[in-house]
Formats: sequence, structure tokens, C-alpha cells
Amino acid sequence: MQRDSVLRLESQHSSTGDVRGGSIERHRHPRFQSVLSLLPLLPLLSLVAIAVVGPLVIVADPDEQELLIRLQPPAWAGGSWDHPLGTDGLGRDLLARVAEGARFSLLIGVIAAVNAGVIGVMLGAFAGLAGGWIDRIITSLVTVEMAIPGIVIGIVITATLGQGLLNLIVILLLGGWIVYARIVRLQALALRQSEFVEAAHALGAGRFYVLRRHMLPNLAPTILVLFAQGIAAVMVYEATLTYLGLGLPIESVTLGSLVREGQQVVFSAWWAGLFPGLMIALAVVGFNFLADWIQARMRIDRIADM
Amino acid sequence: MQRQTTHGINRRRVIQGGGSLIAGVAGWNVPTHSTAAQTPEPVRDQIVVDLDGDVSTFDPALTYTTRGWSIVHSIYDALVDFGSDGTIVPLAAETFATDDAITFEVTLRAGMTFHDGSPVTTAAITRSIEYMRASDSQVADLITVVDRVEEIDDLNARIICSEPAAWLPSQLAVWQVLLPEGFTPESLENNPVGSGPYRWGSYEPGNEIVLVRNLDYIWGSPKGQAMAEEVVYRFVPESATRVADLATGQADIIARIPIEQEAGIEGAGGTVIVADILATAFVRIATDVAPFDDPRVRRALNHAVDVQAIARALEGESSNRLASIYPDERALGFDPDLQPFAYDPELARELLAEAGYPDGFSTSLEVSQAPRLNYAEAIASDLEAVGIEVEIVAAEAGTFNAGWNDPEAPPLRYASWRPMYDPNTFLSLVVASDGFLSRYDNPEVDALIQDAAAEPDTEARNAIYQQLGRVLQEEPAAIYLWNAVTRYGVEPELADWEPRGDDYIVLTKA
Amino acid sequence: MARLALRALAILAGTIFFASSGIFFLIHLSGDPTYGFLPVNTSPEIRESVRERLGLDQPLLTQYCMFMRDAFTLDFGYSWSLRQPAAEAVLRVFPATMQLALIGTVSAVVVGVVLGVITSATRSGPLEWLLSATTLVGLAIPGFWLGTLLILLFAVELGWFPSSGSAGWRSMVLPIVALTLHPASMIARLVRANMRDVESTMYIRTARAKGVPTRAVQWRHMLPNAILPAVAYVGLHAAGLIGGAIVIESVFAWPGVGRMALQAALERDMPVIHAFVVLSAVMVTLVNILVDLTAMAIDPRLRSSQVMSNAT
Repeated sequence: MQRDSVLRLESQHSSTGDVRGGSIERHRHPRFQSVLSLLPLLPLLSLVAIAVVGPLVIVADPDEQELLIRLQPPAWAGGSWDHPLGTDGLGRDLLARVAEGARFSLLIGVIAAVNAGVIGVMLGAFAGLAGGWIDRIITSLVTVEMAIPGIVIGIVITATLGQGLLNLIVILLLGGWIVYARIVRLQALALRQSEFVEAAHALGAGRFYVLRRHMLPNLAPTILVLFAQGIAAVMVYEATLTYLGLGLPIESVTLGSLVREGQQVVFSAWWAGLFPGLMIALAVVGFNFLADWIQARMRIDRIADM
Repeated sequence: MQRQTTHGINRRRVIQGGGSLIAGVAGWNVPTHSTAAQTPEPVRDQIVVDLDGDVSTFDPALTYTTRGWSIVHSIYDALVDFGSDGTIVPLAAETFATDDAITFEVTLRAGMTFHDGSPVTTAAITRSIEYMRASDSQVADLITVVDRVEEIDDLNARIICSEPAAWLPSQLAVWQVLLPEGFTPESLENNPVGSGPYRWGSYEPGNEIVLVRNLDYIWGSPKGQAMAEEVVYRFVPESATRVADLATGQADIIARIPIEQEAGIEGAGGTVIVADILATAFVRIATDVAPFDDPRVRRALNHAVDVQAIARALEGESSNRLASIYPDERALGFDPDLQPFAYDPELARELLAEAGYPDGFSTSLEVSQAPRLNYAEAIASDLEAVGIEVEIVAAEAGTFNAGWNDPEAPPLRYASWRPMYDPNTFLSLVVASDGFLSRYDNPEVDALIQDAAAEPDTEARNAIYQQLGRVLQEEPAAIYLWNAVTRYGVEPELADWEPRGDDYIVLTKA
Repeated sequence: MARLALRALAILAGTIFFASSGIFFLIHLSGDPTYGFLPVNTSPEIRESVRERLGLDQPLLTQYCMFMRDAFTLDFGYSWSLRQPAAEAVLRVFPATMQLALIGTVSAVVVGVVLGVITSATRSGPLEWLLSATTLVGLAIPGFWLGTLLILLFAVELGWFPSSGSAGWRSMVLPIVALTLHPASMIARLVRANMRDVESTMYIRTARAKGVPTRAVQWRHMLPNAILPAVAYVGLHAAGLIGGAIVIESVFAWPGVGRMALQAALERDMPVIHAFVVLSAVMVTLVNILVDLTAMAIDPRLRSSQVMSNAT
């Protein structure tokens, strides 16, 4: 999903031939307004709270099975308060599992998005600044990867190398780095040709120095927005990979694997898939609000509103 | 959406026969069914079966999925088949007998025809054996024991082996199906012709196979009669969708239902059939490395794991702790009097101390992705309780299968084997010292496996395998786990359907 | 046009090279591939004879050279586990996947654009809120979970559509809906944002000032500008849309290529995986050409400048 913010950037660039970096302009807020302006962060904060505090507070063991209480409904729907959100198909406490899953999914999302961001920014900058054959190789890597469905790459990697955290992150990373690379490369390319750099060059500053000191700070808000959306996208994508059997081994609890398990018992236990599904929704809404918030705070030029 | 527990679920456990192995010993020497034509019972117009995936090949030499075998055994008949009590019964053969396990005398039933109208003669036996022998498949290995087929006349033949092979009938029952004259590898895929209860209808890759009833199949086949004019096997990989198909009436039988979905089937108005499929789950112990070369350590492992509790928790109430490798009374060698290892962590500790490991040790347990890692986790945590630290290695299936006799691979591996009507294949591959999947070496066991293979009398073979079971308990080759089951969902009218013990969905009824 | 075609060819060549190499080394460096497609009780002798027959006993470099030579002549060879040429096996089921993906894409564009225009026109009303919420849900709900919920509601409870299969148009409805929601949500959001940007430009204000009716301004003047990102989205996400179809066909038992690809990968049936990946790349490249042509038709400026949907 992150690709599309860039899309608007790029279509803008290509149609006008004018490359502008985002400009940061901090708004001044009266104090009460700044408290209000934090409101959109609420969904994300509650997600983080559940993920971080949840496993500490909830006493139930997310892995403990009690077959006699399989598929017990939530407390208010006829279950018991021992298992407030009910139990899954093997009698495990759903609340504990959702909290555990949120934590793990969030972790995977952040790790994958950070890696994708760092690699994407580095390759993009490298391609744009170095130009020539280096640029051509990196650009064609991007093109090639875009021509192959990410799911297919996941299938081949998992089938040959097996399931595991590292492999999952590699698959997620492969799906995510392109967007950063494309945007940073465009900026770097423009930079390379600009008088500004020539001037800096004349003053003895290297291209990479200029990139690091002047371009990246300008791009930071854009990258942050992509990053926020990226984490949410990764969480949904992880669920899809898990569905196809390309996620983590079955004993790992992620929101994706919980939705998958819930989907399996959907005909007898709506709760098992609903609550983890809601958590993913909370994450998507939360990170999108975060992205909006960053944009509003930093007024990034020409970034999509989502 | 009501509250569900394991109690009160509308389901039925199927285990056929029951302890009648010895009674049926004469088994394949005596024709047990009359050949007189019966009046066919009225059959349904159509039965739709949801399988969990496509059938990639219909070639009996290449098939190795139960989905594939379901189709193969609907279209073809083999010389012999497994009866519901696990004994070998004559199928296309009227009699099938041997005195020395080297020469097998076959008399075909008179009057059988292939779907193309040509008669079934002994040439079909030769054809299928030649074809299997020439194939590049695991089947070719098993057939090498057959030296030649002598056709005496159209109905009488001798299958002559190069060495005693008492296990041969149980293998012939699986893949040695009778092939018609003029078949080609292509026709096996595109328009297979057999002599079985159903004939080929159509196949749409990724979607469905249609078989139609063979109206000429009216002789008193022990397989029974076709249950429907038409059987449609659909390929529905998603188990929740299979349940939905049952609920909407789009399917009449759905296969491979996870235990978590039993409740969903009842909600859909269906019946769950839990079928024992002669599957043995075990954790193979490599005995070629310390400390597992000491039988006390291996017994300690068996005592340390609360197998019964794990079986009940993860497999359901139909699974029980096994004493040895034999899953139930239909398996040759099963001994109802042999008790499983007791769950006794104290005893396990004592045995470990005796063997010189009072503080335990650390090791690793390999498991392929396909079976639930839950099993491995549960087993590992029980072992840890007696001081054995276990690292679980999850390997992709291909890697896992490549490591059976690799001395570098983890010494423990979780696996299951089925169907185990006749334990010979399993024993000679996984337990015999020269088996290519084996890391076990015990001359006494090797000798017993040899003896059993050469013993023509079923009762005597059974006794040898029982003896083997006791030796394998004294000097374990594995942590013996439980008999695995499979779950079907069926619409109420089919609630009395009896699945085969080998999990092949062949819709016939006696 | 010639430039476009050349570009597509270059992309294809690059894709075949990288993808083929990747597949080759992943399959060969992760152990003996025969353990993927031969049953475990196959004896070492038979295994060796199969390896010889498939040329797997040759030095790796020799195998790689032959493999690449065949790859560029689009000769994928015989499947290792099915008894037919790999390309034939894939081509038998690929059209069903493409059918799903293409209809899904077209409906996503239509639904997305309509939703986007409506929401950009009605600001801050309950309708906009509802549609925004829908698009957020569309982004948040994994396709397989949505598919199952649709089955539960429309097949099991209401009985309007079949729960699975591919018999007639009725069995297509639920898979298409499940496939469409996510991309339609993305497109709706893109279009809405663009509509608002375009709205403030000079020429729209001029048009309004001249008294062109609001609706006409919206659909005739603003939409062509706002629709470009939606079209470009299809180009950027063509691969993802095919990937989405693979997930959906598994839920609805749609007879497409997804299951076969998954199975082939698990069995390490290299020819089939290879044929599948290259075929997917060809389809994505074709879709991209279509997208470029459409974009040029909409925006004449693009005809002279670079092609927008590709990675510049």
C-alpha cells in the first residue's frame, strides 16, 4: 500500500518535470490544541499498550490448552471471565493469545519495515547518485521484482528454505524496499543535476555528503509516512503469508496466525477470528492515522492522504 | 453459535473388525465371497466429495497420495484387497494362495471385464507387473522380488518370487492393479480403463474429477457395489470452505477435517466420522550416537513423555498410547496384551542415572513443517522435565526426508507412517540395520524381520511380529506415540458410511 | 510504440534472467531436489536413476548453463512430478487465475473511481464517513478472511451464491468481491486525494467560473486528471493483483494456478515453478503495457515524456 503515496509524488514529477522535496514547516499550536492533535494517535497507542502491557498483565498462558473448554465464547456471550474473549479450537485463552500476537506482529512489522526502509533508502540513494551502470542494475532489480508476484517469491523461498522468522522477514523485506528506493532515487537523481550540488561540489562537498546533510532530512517526513503505512501493510501481508503456509512455524503466535486459526473455526466460533482481525484493523487505522498526523504536523508537500 | 465442548458432538468413531485377525487367518487362501451376481441396490444419483487438493497423477505406479489412491482404487481392482478387519481378501483373484511365500497361485474370477469390454485375463497380471517394474518409482523396488509371472491359462497364473516374500500380497493390494491391453502411460492419465466399480468420467485440473458407475460391476466383489451413479471429487484446499460446502449441500462428504472444526460440522448439520487409518505416530530415535546407543536411555525417553495426555489433547479421544509400532488390531503384529510404556518421570530419571546421565543431556528433535509442531513442543517439554534439553529443528519436508539416515541429522525425529496393515515395509526401511531410512542396528531385530518376511503362514507371521514388538519395547527404536486418525464430515444420509482403513475414499458399499 | 515494446522485452529478459537464476539456485542449494517430489520410501538406486534421467547428476555449472539456455528459449522442460510438459501444466490452469485477476482489477478500478469521486464531492457527510470507514476496512482485512466471511454470510446463511467452485457466473461473484475490496479501497483513496488537488487548480476554477455545471466539471474535467493515479496503481500492483488472486482461489476452490504453484514449490518441481514465474512476469509486463497505453490515452502529455508507470 505504501507504493501509492509515492505514486502521487512520481506522477507529479513526471507530469511537471519539477522535482521538489518535501518541505517541513512546523505549525505552532497553542497547548490545548497540541493535546487535541494527539488524539489521532489513540488507536496506535492502545495497540501498543495491549502489545506491551498485555502479556505482563494477563495471567493466562497463551499456549496452554484445555480441550474440555474448546471454543468457549467471550464472557459476555455466555462464556466465563476466566477467558474474557473466549477460547480457541484447542481451548487456549484468546485474550492472552491476541496480546501475544499483537506484540509479535508489531515486532515483525517494525523489523521488516525498518529493514526495508534502510535498504531501500540506501539503494535508492546509491542508484541516483552513482548513476550509470549501477543505477541501471538497481533500477532493473526494481523492475524485475515488480514483475513477479511477491506471493510467488514467498512460496519459492519458503518451500526451499523452510519456515522461520528470518525467512519471513526476508519475504516481507522483498515486498517493501522498492517503494523507498524509488522515491529516494528520484530525489537523488534530481539532486545530481541541480546547480545546488554543483555549487556544493565546487565548495568541496561530496554528493553523499550533500545527500546525507540536505536531502535525507528533507525526505525524512515522507519516509516516516511510508514507514508508518509500511508497518500496517506488513501486518496484513503477514496474515496472508501465514494463510498460504508461508508464515512462521505454527507454534508462533501472530495476529495473522490467529486470524488464520479463527477462519478455520468460523462456522462455530465467530470470536476466534474476530478479535485478532479487529487488532489488525486497529493497527491499520492506527498507523494510517499516524501517517496523517506526521503529514499534518510537517505539512509534507503532495503526499497522499492515506 | 452455541457453546461447544467435546461432549455431545454428533460423531462416530469408526474402527472396523476388531480383534478378528486370527479368525481371518485362512484369509487369502479361501474365497470368502460368493461370485453369484447380486441384484444391485438402488444407488444415489450423485455423491460429491470435497478432497483437500488436486490429484496430480492417476498412474498407479506414480501415485503416492491418498487422494490419488482414492481414484485409482475406484477405477481399478487389484488381485487382493484389505478386508475391514485388516486381513488380505481376494478381490479380482478368486483364490490367492502360497505354501512357501515364493510361488503365489492365482485364480482370477471368471467373467470379469474391463470398462472397454475386454475380458480380464492373467495377461493383465503380467502387464501390470511389467509396467510397475519398468517405472522409475518406489513401486519398482518392491516388484524386484517378483522373478516372473507364469500364465497357465486365461484364469490361472503363478507369481514367482526370487526369495520368500510373505509381505507381497499386502503390497500388491496397494498398487498392483489390473491394467487392460493396449494401455499407455498417456492413457493412464487421460482415460484410464480398469475393471473396478467406477469408470472414468472427466477431469478438470484444479477443479474436479467425475467418475461414473460401472454398470457391469455386479459380481459379488468384496469391495462392494458403487454407492452412486456418479461421484464427483472436488478439490477444495481450504478446510473452512469444505465445511461451508457441507453446510450448503454442495458436498456430501468432506475429507481431512481438523479437530478444531468438528464443532463447525455439527453446526452445519453434518456428522463427523473419526476414522482410524492404521497410522502410527512416533519419535524415531537414532541409536548410532551416544547416549541413544544405550537402551536404558531410550526406555527413559519413553517413560518420560506423557503420551496419552498429549494424544488426547491434540489428536482427540480416539487416539491412544501405543505399546510399539503397531497402530491397532488390524495391523499384523498388534498385541493387545502388550502394555504401553507407563508415564513415569521418576523411573525415567532413574534409568538415565543408571545409564550415566543423572543430570540429563541435551539433544535435538527434527520435525517437518507439515505435522503440527505442537506435538514436538509437548514432547520436548516432557523430556525437559526429566533433564533432557531438546532443541526443536523445524525442517522443510524435502530436507526432512533427506535426513532419515544422515548421521549428522538430529537424533530424534517426529514422524508417522501409514497404512501399517503389514509392517514389513516400515520395518525393513526404518528399523532394519540395512534399511535406507534406518539408524537402528539390532541383529535380533534384523533376524526377526527376515523370518517374518519368509514365513508363509499368517498366524506364524503375526506371532513373529508380536515377538518383534516386545523386542522393540525392550530396545526401543522410537518413542512410541499414538494411532493417528482422520476426520470426515458427511451429510446425515451418509452417516453410516464406513471409510476404508487406508483412508482411500472409494465409495462402495457391501 | 516501438520504444514501449523494446522496453517490455528488456524487462522480460531481465526478469527471466534474475528469476530463473534465483529459482535455480534456491532449488539446487537447498539439498537434493528429488526428496521433494519422490516419496520417502524410494530407494537410493531409483533416486539415482531419476537424478540421471533429469540431468541432476551433472556438475551444477553445466546444469545452470543448460537451464538458462532453455529459459531464454522458453523451454521449461518436463515437469519433475507430473507427467506432462511444465508449460502445458501451468497453461491449463493459468487462464482461470487471469480471469479472476483481470475481472477483479477492472471492477476495482470502476468501484474505486466511483467511490473516490463520490467521497471527494460529499465532504464530511455521513456518507463520506461511511465510505472512508469501508475503505479502511478494505485495507485492514486480509483477503482470505474476507473471503471466508463472505462465504459464511452469502453462501451459508443467505444461500445466494455457491460456497466454492467455478460453475457459472454466480460462483464468480464472491471471489471477485473478496479480491476487489482491497485494491478498490486504495484506488478510492488515491482518486479522492487527487480530485481535491485538481479541484484547486486554475483551470477547474476557470471552468466553474464559466458556469460549467458542477457534475460536468467533476466527471469531464477533473476525473481524467484524477484517474491517472488509479491507472498507474494497476501498473504498479499488477503483480500484487495476480498474487491476490492466488490467495482468493485457494479460499473459493477456484481452479487456478495458485495451488499448483504452491504444490510445485513444496515438491521442488523446478520446471513447473519456473514456467509459472516466467508466465506471471509476462502477464505483468503485458498489463503494464496496457496501463501505459491507457495512461497516454488519458493524458496526452505522457505521449512525449517518459512512460509513467515504470520505474522511470
